[in-house]
Amino acid sequence: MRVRRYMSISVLLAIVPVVLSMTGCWSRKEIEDIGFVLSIGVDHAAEEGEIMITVHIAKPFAISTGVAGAVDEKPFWQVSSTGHTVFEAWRNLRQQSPRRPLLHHSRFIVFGEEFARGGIREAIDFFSREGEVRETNTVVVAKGVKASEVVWNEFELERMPAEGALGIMKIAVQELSTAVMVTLNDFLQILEVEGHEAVASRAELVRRPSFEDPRGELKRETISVSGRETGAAAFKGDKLVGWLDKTQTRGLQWVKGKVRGGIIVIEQLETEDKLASIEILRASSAVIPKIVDGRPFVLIKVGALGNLGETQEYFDPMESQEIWISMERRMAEMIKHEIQAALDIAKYEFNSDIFGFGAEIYRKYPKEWMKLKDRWDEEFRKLDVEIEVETSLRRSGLTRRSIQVVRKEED
Amino acid sequence: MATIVLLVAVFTVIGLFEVPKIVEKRLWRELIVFSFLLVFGFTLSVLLALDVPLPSPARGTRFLMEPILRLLGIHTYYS
Amino acid sequence: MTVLEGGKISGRQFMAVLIVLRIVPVTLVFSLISNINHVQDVWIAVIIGAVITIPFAVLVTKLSLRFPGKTIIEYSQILLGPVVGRLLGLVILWCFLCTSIDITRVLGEGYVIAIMPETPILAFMVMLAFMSSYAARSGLEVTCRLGEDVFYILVFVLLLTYVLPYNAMRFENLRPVLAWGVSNLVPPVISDLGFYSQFLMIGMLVPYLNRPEDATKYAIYAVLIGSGLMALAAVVLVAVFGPTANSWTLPLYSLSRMISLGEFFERIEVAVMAAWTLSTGIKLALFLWAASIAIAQLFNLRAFEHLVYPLGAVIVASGLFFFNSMVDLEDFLAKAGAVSSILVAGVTLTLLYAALGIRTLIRRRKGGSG
Repeated sequence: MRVRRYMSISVLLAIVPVVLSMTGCWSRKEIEDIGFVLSIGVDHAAEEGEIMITVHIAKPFAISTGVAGAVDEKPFWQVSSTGHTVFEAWRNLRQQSPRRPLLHHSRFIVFGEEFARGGIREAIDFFSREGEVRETNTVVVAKGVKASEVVWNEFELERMPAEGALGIMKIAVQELSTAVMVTLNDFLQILEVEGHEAVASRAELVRRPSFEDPRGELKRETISVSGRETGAAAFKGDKLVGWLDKTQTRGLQWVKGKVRGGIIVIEQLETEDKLASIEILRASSAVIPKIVDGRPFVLIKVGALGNLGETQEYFDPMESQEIWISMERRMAEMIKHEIQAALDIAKYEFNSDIFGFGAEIYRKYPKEWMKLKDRWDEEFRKLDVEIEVETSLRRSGLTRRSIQVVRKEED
Repeated sequence: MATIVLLVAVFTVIGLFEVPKIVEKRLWRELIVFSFLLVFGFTLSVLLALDVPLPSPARGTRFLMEPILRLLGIHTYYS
Repeated sequence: MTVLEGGKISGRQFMAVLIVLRIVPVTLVFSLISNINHVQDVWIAVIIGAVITIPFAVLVTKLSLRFPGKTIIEYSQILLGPVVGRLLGLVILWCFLCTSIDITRVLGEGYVIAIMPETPILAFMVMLAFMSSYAARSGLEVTCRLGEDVFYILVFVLLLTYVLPYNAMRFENLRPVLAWGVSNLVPPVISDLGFYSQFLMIGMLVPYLNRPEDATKYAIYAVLIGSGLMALAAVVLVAVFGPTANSWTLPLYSLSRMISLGEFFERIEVAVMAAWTLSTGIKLALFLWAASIAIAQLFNLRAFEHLVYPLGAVIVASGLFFFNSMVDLEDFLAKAGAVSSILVAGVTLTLLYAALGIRTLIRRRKGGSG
């Protein structure tokens, strides 16, 4: 009898959560009644003191890959709405959307440049407090334009703007290391970490020259405005202070140990005008803070592995080991140069510690940091940074020496 | 009104479920405690349904613990 | 006289139930981490809490072992006399009821906050109370067997949520260690001990153990495993959320939302939710059982199971008006509630041991004279 009772209670206990979660779905989340928001942009509205949000919502009936033939419709809908706060603007969206917009599947949170320069504090709380938004969203700042224009940048090869932007960004992060992907969680965290300023992804509009060439197409569809997702946006506190270009972004990524791939172009040994490409395999880094006589000092140690990928002139590494070693040395110099570029712009132009040197000092020397933190802006500008780069070239691809072009006498 | 009808129904069901068993076993003391608890729960529920403000014991506990919390340097919501 | 509770439980069930009892507030609101200013030291607070709790758990167990087959309610009447003993019993009963009320409300709030914001909280509270009353009415044996199974599920789900967000973890968030001094650790340790003082429950469980001699061992295991699971949670939360770890209302739920391993594992928060419900159900069942037994023993009743359903109704109703809001509830649980339950546990233990000491002194003197 006890056993039977035990069984019945177990079944009851197991069923209750399932039923509860399902009724939740049934009562308010009919798939026909919702619109999945894929990215959300935040700007100042035209009205003083109001916020405008722009979302792009997937049109499920236009994405379906049914046999019935290609759908002519755009597979998404971009729509803006305003309110005094982000939440109000978000709720006001329901005046325009016949389906209930839902943020569960959103990928990007985009801030317009103007909005970000004014400080994003007033907009971010909603995104961590609202249960629909996942902390894994990527934070993006639109360069030069409003977020409302960037949110629905279209890309070739992907029907959905957010999917296209995500694809480009992921590839840039993994194979070029010239872009950053900062999740909402990381972004909010860094706002709270002492001695560390935030960066976010940078997105901009690219106008493509449109040309008409009807070859091979049944129907014309060109994308004349697309997006670019490289570089990074640098913040100080909650305010945008400037932009990092591709080189500077990779410099930042070297310091943070987040370089995963990319090409380093160096001068080939003998001939100065000929170049060689090195493919980055992987990299590691360590930021070691030191306090010498009360003055902070930072040592950055970067280690990088690469393969020789291409040379423009004849090249045979078997001739002498000096060739190989000097290539490694020039690779290290390039990396140093990239890091220095990022350091310089962060120190002198932004005066913003996007590398988190202050945080490293806080973690290692909390007592000294308490004294430093109030004047960290000046200290950061004056900070001595030593960069040590250790590189190693591993392989040279399928060929050892390059193809030699034999000069043929022509008389 | 509907809530009160519902409450009456719920508490009657509890009563109908337990009372015959108690009476069958002739547990008179149990019946008294049981009835007291049931009536207490029912009164509480009806008062809540009628939106009568009830004093929360949590408040009293807070008031009593206030000096200790202050001694420990813990900031509370009410202070 | 008929026996109130005829069930017997094994040492492992005893341990599992105790761990579930401690872990439940952690799976919902992690008061420890919500009440620390500089989160990186929270795991130290967990360890301090465990170090203080082990002697407490051992003392309660040893005391219960001196009175085989008697619960803390019964032997406090033996030690302190019928009047003072009953008063102390009432205070302990009050603590059991308060805990039941707190966790019922917390589970309801958790559901409303995390999953179904539009459903009235009453629905979840009634459902939980019904589930738990059903289990409690079936007796201790059934509750503890379920408790053991739920414990395994809970540990599995917890370990999954600790491991899977690995790509969001940054362990440098855990430094600097102890930079903010000991005063930073006082609020979390108080809240930890507040929850651990619910281990007075040991005094209700030991008499029903099938091998009481193992009770001390399993009580210590319970503290160690419970604290271990919490320390891990603390480390993972700080690694993933950094200084924002103390901003979450439901930290482990938010942690589970960080998991994204392909499409399949993205919705793991449903598993976390199921683990909440099950473990809270077991904890509430245990406390309802204990409260009913306590009432029965205080008023010399011969059956406890008839009291469970009305008690459940009282608890749901009280859960609604005890606290105004979630903020109110969280504040109470971690501060005033914690301090008051520490006081109750401390005073109970001191009184009982003092009475025991005096009794043995008198007996020894008598023995010496005779």
